[in-house]
Amino acid sequence: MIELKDSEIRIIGEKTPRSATPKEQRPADQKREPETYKAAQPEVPIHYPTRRRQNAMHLIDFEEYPTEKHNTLKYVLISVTVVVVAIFIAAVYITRNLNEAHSLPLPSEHQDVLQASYNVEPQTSAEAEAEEGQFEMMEQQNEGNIDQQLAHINMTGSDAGCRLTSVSINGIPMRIFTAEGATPELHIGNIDKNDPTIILAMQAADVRKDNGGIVGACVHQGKVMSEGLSKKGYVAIIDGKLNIGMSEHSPLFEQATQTQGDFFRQYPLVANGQIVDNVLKQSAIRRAICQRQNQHFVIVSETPVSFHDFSQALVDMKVENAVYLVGSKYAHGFCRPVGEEMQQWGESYGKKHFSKSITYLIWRK
Amino acid sequence: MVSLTITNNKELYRLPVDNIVCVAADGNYSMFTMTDQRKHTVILKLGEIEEMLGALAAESQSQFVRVGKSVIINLNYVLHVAPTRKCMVLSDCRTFELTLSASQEALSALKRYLES
Repeated sequence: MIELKDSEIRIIGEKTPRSATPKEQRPADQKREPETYKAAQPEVPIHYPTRRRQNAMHLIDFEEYPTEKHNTLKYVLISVTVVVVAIFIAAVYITRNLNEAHSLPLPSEHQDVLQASYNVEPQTSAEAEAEEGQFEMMEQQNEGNIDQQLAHINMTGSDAGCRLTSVSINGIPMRIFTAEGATPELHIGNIDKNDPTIILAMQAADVRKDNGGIVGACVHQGKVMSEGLSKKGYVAIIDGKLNIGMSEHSPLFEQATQTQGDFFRQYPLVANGQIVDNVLKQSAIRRAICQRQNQHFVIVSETPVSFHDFSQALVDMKVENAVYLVGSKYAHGFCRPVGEEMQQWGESYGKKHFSKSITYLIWRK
Repeated sequence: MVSLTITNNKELYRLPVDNIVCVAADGNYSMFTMTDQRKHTVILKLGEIEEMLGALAAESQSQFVRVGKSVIINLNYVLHVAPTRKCMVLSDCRTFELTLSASQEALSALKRYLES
């Protein structure tokens, strides 16, 4: 039997198909406009999907959806699906990284890396201008009279408490925490922020991400908690007196073990009034315990700065020795300013498995 | 009453030819639509159905036309043919009405055949 075309019909019982257009009319058809003639051409065979087998009668309506259009739509849908899946995976990956950053008190260099990535948050031009203008005002007010700014650091009040001072050095806004009438000590583990005897608490040594241990040598109340020389800076508390400096082999370590003292290591920033270069270049919120004119205080940058800029600002403040404390905006701490409510920053670590290795440099009245 | 008998190893269909409204093709399958609106799918190509109906053409009162590659219709139930709209309506004017699509050329040929 002769194969039938879509454009033909065949009377059942007959062998010859009947065409729609008699042969004698074809020359006239060809005289039509090209577009019209094109419309009269036989249609492209339609491939019906076999999944519609159970409703084969419905397939005839598929003539309204030519295969080419159907394929185009299919490709568009696949592309959109791939893009949505890629965005979803990226969002999950970023969220997971953020959660890890929140959950672990990384060593300083890791926090710096994270901080660098967090600090690229979009900022509107208006906010940037406002912020820049605010810092400029502070510079105008404070720059040029560093000694005057720091003069009242040495003031001692009658009440024990924490004195807060805002300064701007080299365009870097910073806050100075001076604990008055209080004794420094090292605290290991979660800290009770409701303890009214603690007037200032800052995270001290870094915690290893791999095993949750303390980075570098650490002595707590005469007991050696960890050993190692990953950082040359040290902070020692011997008989309630704070000593900070830079040395690979400090005798204060042994002295701390013999006198029930405290000792921990961190990055040195300033040693004998000279800047100490560190390899870390990323910007982050920086904290440091400083010694200046026999006074000790904690300095915190209010904006992310590099190690070098922070150290240089300390040198310009005539700080004699300075050792880094755990930085970034996630490091936990709090203070009780005189006559004011307690101020807290960062995140406490609760019952997380590494919380037993969290170290705090605290001042207790 | 003439019946179209379709059988295989598992089942047998005995379809009254006069009650067949149309047969639609779907690859190696064909689907019969009857006047009671029931549908029966068989594993036969439309060409094979066409030959079987051709063999019964002399005995049956119904005349069937294959419209294009995809469908065979019973001319007794053709109610409306619209080539420009590329559709036709099959109905017994009582119980069912079925609209089918086909190419404009095929429907024009069908229209001309029915006119003649």
